[in-house]
Amino acid sequence: MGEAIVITSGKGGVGKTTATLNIGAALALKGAHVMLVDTDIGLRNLDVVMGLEDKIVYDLVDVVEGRCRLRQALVEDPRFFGRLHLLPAAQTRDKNVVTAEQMQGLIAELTQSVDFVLIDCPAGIEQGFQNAVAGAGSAVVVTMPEVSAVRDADRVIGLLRSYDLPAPRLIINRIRAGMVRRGDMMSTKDMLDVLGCELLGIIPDDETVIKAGNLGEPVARGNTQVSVAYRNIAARILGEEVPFQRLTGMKDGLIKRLMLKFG
Amino acid sequence: MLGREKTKDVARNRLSSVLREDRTAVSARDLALMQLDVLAALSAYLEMERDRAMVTVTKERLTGQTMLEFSVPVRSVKRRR
Repeated sequence: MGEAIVITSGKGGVGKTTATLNIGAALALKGAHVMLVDTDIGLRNLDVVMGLEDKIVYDLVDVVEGRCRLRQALVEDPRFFGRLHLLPAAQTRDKNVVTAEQMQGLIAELTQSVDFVLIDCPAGIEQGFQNAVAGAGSAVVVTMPEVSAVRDADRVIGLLRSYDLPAPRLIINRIRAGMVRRGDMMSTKDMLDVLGCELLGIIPDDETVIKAGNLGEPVARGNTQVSVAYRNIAARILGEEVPFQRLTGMKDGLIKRLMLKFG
Repeated sequence: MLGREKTKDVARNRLSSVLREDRTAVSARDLALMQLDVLAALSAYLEMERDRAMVTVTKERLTGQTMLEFSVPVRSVKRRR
């Protein structure tokens, strides 16, 4: 039986969906069978980030309401040789059409056939959050080095304590090494000190993420610092001991300005 | 605008402040339930004016520490053998 992990954050826009895709892709690259479940009903995005938006016929709500079988709603990512699938959310329905019990049943069914089910949780802490967490066996909280994002992560970590789950693990996204060095961005340690979570990974802020998103490509397949960071997270989820990367940031100055201008 | 203070330190201080507020926020419903529980516990020892009991949450001025205060007028102490 597989493991169901919910990827959550509280605040929107911190990179949950990108993280869900790339952790899933990195696990699939390591040979695991992975199911990505978009639970953001009404605001689905995982299909677009994956570049599979034109492959969707049925969705999660169709499955729950019995209009199709589960297998009919799954979309295979052809780049991963049958190891990465998506169960898309409905785009035109309200998130309250699915109950926590229905989601629990669905996730339980999915874990029978894959190694990992990664549940992309919607922003907020209402019904959508409760549904996404209901079927999970563990949680990963994504945050970024901004006061509002860390505050919301703290709130979500507090809420997760009321579920029967192990302590959530933390991903810190969009770290800029140069800004941390200059004292203009909170460091990993600053955030871990206040949140008191186990660190699962650090993702540097990198424009390759935006480019990959434009192309509908998982950045985890590439050779950038971000790619390595996601593959390291996958390795840690698989129980490997992987040291955290020492992030290098491009120093500000003439060279950076020239590269931004001509690169 | 921000002088020589590192903006990260400002962020960290603001974060500590909002988290302290968030983590110690007690809802009115919970305060009411707490009041009932405290009264139930004390009633084994004291005769009290239950309708004048009060639970309040305050901040200590110097440390910012959240303080929970319970007050109730006592009519008499129940003597035990």
